[in-house]
Amino acid sequence: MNTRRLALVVLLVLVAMLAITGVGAAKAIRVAMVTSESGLGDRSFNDMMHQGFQRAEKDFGIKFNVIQPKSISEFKSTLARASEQGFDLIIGSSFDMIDPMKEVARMYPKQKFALIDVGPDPIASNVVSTVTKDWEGSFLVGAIAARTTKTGTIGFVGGKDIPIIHRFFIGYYYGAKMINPDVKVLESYSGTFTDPATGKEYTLALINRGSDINFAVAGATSAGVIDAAKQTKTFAIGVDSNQNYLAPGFVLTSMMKRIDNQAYDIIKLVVDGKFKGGTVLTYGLKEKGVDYAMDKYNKGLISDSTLKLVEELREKVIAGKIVVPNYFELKPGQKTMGQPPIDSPLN
Amino acid sequence: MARSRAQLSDIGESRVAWAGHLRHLAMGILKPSAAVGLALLIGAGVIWAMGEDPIFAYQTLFNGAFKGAGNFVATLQYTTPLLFTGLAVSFAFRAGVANIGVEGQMLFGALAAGIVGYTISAPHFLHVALAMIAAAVAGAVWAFIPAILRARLGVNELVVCLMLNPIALLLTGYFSSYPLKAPGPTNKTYDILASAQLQQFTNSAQLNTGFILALVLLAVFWVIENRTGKGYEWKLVGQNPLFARYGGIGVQKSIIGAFLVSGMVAGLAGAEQVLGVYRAFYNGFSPGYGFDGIAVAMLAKNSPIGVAFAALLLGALNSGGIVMQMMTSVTRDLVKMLEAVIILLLAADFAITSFKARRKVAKAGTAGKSIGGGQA
Repeated sequence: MNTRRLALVVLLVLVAMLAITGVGAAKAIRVAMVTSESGLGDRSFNDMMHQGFQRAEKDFGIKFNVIQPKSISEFKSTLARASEQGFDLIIGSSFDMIDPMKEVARMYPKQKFALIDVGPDPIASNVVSTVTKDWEGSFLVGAIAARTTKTGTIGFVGGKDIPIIHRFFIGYYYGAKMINPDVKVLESYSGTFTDPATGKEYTLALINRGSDINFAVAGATSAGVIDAAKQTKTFAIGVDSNQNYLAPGFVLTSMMKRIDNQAYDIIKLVVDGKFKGGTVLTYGLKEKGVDYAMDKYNKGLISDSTLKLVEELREKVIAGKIVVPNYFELKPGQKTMGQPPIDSPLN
Repeated sequence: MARSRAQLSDIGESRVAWAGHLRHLAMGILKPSAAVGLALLIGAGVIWAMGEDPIFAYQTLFNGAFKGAGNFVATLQYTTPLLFTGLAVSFAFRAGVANIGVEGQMLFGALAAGIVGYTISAPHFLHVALAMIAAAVAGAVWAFIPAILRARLGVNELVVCLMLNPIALLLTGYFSSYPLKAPGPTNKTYDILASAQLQQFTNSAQLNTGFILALVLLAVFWVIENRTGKGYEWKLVGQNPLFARYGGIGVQKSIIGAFLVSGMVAGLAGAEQVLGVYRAFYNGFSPGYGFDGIAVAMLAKNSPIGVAFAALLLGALNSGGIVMQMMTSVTRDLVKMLEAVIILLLAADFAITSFKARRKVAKAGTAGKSIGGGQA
């Protein structure tokens, strides 16, 4: 009787334990995506990151919520309140979120955070951050432009005259000069990330000065750069996401920042239990964090010999034989507007 | 013991007056509440159509706004700028000027506070006061443009204000991106000095002493509007400018004065954001506080006490909306939709009331005519 009873109790306990572990296994990992100010629907940065979350949802069965602050002042309280909701990971992006996340991460030391596409300094002991080496991607498209130009002059239209955008220009310049030291590289800044009409004007001005390939690094303004290329039958180079489809035949290629891969990888770290706060992940050519876009829309625009050459360059960068200069590590005086920023790599 | 006849009739009259006040107050609370209730009902339909549970969504919205100290402090942070902008708009509305340029006036106030915050050094209280005065003056200067155009030339202030808002955004944006830009990746001015900072209450949010200043300001304006001759003049001009002019009130002066005061309050809204929340002027920091102020003023029926409740309502919706977004798939845009529905309902109520009044006048007019015709 007693043994029977004991057996029954053990059985019940076992069943109960099974039930608990069952529940434990079914509990999905919850991730929060905190967008930068422009929010979802920007057809660029945030949408690209969202794709990474969707991929992770499919592959790992995670659940995620998108949180869209409407101004920089909301970043801090939004991050703090998200930390109260039991998310396994909170992912944010943009330079403006560095300080808010630093403070909130200190207040919630057990919460896992990630900050995408920021600088090389670690944020906090519970934050994984990433650096995108967009200058390496710009280096490759600069080389493509220098090989493809017929006029010997190529252009660059930046959104604003700010350091982050100079970073693209330096890579672009360096790539172009490496292929052809005689190529002229025109530099200009439209002053806006949101106005295609202004972007078009600036591009037409560059084209008047002889440029036949223009690299657009200007958010929504880039659409105007591409529009100008279509109108004058020259080439534009897109940025961030693959923009080749916007004007088939006139977008030479696009310099893609694979923000989606970064979000996906960090979610995977949490899923695998390998998340380690305080680390900074770098996404350059080697890590497939940047690339130039090839698809049916720009087929035949770039010659095979150019592609072969560019692939050789890629290998050299990955192997460390070529170090593309990073704007933030230049010596003072190396970059002034209108001046050759750095010595030609062949000198 | 026995009261005199005159005293008794006084009491009787004041009773009648109080009853009128109460009825007025009841309608003032009832109509906006009905609009809010109806908007929530429509919102529930939308949430249901999205495949979510409306009750759960509203529950998380409410808890997200009020449950726990962290959430409540965040709600007050969202409320603070609306207290200022709501007061600025409602004060102007009451005086008969449609100052919908509060957004632009706030931006200039913010820029002025930001500049004074880092260019001069002074003891804490003096520095804060100077930055606030600069902000108020800057807001008033920007408000002076529509004011003088309306008062002297009769130019519609709605149009002028609407056009001045983007100009203010781009001009302040230019200053913070080029001549006054601090080094670094973001377009902002230099950080203000510690002596110019408004104290923040907690680490988790940026609620600061500016909130208390807003409440004090509301009280001051309640006194001005209800207990001073100037306040009465403004109210009179707002309700019936022709009558006010016959009564010997300088309507032009009154319009300019109301605009300037409204602009000063708008400038202080910017000062609170710069000195208390951001500690520097950030290009384009406002998600539209000036425009939300219009909604607050409409909900508040232009009374300072109403502004406090209306701002808290919108603040709670915005603050709770963030948490709702964390727990459900309902996006925060639902909150914007609720706001829009509330404004539409209130505007419709206003239109109906004025339509009824006009019909009454028209009826009385035709009746008078027919009598007159008979006599002739």
